[in-house]
Amino acid sequence: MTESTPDSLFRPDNAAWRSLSPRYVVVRRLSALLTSLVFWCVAAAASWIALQLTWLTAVIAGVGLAWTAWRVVRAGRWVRSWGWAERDSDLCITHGLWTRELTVIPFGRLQMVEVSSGPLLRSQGLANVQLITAAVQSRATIPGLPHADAVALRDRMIELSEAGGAGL
Amino acid sequence: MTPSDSMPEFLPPDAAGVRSPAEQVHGAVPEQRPTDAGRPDFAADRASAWPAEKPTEDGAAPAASGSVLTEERPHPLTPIVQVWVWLVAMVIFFGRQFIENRGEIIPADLGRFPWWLLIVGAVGLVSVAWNLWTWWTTRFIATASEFRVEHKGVEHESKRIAYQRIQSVDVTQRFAARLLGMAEVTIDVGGDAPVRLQYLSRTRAVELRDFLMRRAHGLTPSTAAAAAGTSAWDDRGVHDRVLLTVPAGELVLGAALSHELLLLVLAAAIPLVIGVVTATPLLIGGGILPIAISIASFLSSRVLGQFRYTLAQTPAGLRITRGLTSLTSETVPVHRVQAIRIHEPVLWRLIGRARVDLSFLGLRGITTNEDGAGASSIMLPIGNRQAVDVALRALWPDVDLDAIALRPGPRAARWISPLGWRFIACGWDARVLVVRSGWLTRTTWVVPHARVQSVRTTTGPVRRKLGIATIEVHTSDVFRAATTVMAEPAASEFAFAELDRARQSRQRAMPTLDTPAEGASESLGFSHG
Repeated sequence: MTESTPDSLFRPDNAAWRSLSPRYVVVRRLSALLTSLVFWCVAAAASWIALQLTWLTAVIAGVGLAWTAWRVVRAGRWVRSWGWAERDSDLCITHGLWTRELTVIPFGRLQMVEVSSGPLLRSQGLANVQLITAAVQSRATIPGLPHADAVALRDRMIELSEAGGAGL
Repeated sequence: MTPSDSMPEFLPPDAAGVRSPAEQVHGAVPEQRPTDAGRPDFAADRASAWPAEKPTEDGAAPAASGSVLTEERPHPLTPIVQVWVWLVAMVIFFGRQFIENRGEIIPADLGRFPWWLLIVGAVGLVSVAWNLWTWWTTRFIATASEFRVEHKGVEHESKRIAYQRIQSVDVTQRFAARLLGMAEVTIDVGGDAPVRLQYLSRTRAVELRDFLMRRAHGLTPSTAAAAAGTSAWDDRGVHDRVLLTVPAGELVLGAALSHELLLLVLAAAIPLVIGVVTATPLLIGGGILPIAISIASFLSSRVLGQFRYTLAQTPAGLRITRGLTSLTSETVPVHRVQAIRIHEPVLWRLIGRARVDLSFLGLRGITTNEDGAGASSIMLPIGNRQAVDVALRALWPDVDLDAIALRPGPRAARWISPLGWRFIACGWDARVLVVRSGWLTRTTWVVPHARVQSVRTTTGPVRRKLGIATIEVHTSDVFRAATTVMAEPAASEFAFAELDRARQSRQRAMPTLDTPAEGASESLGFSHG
């Protein structure tokens, strides 16, 4: 696999990195199963009803099954690839297995912090935190935090963004 | 003394300091400031502020009537201007009738009118009536603390704009309005949609603009005397100093050497070649005519929209005036500028020309070269090196691009961008970050460190093998991220280093970036061409 690169490049030691909640793996797996169930089953059923081609239906079902299995297996590593850290004046978020990403946002630039959670996330007591600056591209999300942590993070961010208030 | 009196009425937004994030997002919602009706300089204000007239005393003033400086309706011709296309169509139609029927404008038999014309006429009359009603029920009110647009038609609406929230004020003279000596005032309030005031007389619009800008900058009315002396042709006050003008010849040259024109000419070549090969002259005519028309309209839009481009230093800040059919006069909110981009298309490089775009908060979108009215992203439509320098220095007086050493991108980048990798470069000094890329159109970004919203480093399987990573520096919504490629260890360090620079830059408070650079470019009364 390609994750052999030293982690330090995208997860430098100059910050205390924190991970997502392990329960978020469950959410990812469930949502992979659910979306696959809907998408691939409907596709397979439709191809069977419309075309009556056994081989096509088998291929669709096989691909769907493989993709779902891949996502379910992968979910654990994917969730563990996420990391976020609060430094003195900025927030760092890193994630990704194939494509690695490191986003650094100064607290002073945060315009809005949103906490959201859907039914799946709520069932595990988790929430997503979305950080919004004046630039659309720099929109960053930390998914799957325990709800209390998410709310605490939001409040802390807002406080820090006021203190570091760089205006615009 | 209320607490708000102890500090200047308006600080540059950066210095305005602590605002809650939510408030910044909804920054356009002008919150009700405490009315400082007891201000000592109020009387002086009233005498010399925007309105020269006395405030109306007809009791229409709302609750805070004590602080109302003026109240007035839009110009009475507004309803006419708003439906001028319809009016022109009507005049043309009836004009033709008149000529065809030898003096008989309205035929005796109404049935001879085509049915659609009756509908158009009816719709036109209804909209005239509606506009008249809107005009009658709309009031522009200036008070000591805010500017209000009251609309009491079917729905009652009151837009309140606190003076400190005003980002920029533009005066636009659209074609019809310009013929009648009227102008539209657009008040940009940052996050929300700009407030359009249609229409005021030209002089009034300029007075209002100057008044609002002075208030937005917290200047007392006496420090900047009203700079009247505007006309249908330009918008130039007594105190304005012209830094730069772009002659029409430059604009034509720029349009002639643009990619777009090249593509259009190539498109014209296709029917020409096919027509010649198959010997069908009709195809040549039919295929080329529409393309010829689009070439003509392209050339005219490029040239007309930027016609008589003038960059001037005024007491209220930088001002750009341009346009042949619609005259647009916009004040560049220097302290809101997030980044600039210098574009050098391949053909323009041959003649040493470049275009400068700027993005500031509140800008809706990228302006291409259309005859667009209102706030525009184009700071300099075309100019040589000196012109670009003048424009840059007018914006940020002590930024010297030549002094910034650009480091080329890694050689490994040629595998992911075989044509453009040579042009990838990045450099910085204490104040700005410079990012260059692009082989067809070379784009140079200049982003003040203090304006960086966030930095993102990305790498994928291929890039990781090559030991490189992509870096995006995000500034504002309008521009895409400034993107560059760096070798691996430097790349991930860059994100943190850049943010450290941004923090230091902000801490230095950037006096020159935050305040409109008045008189900072004394020796630059340069006008090229």
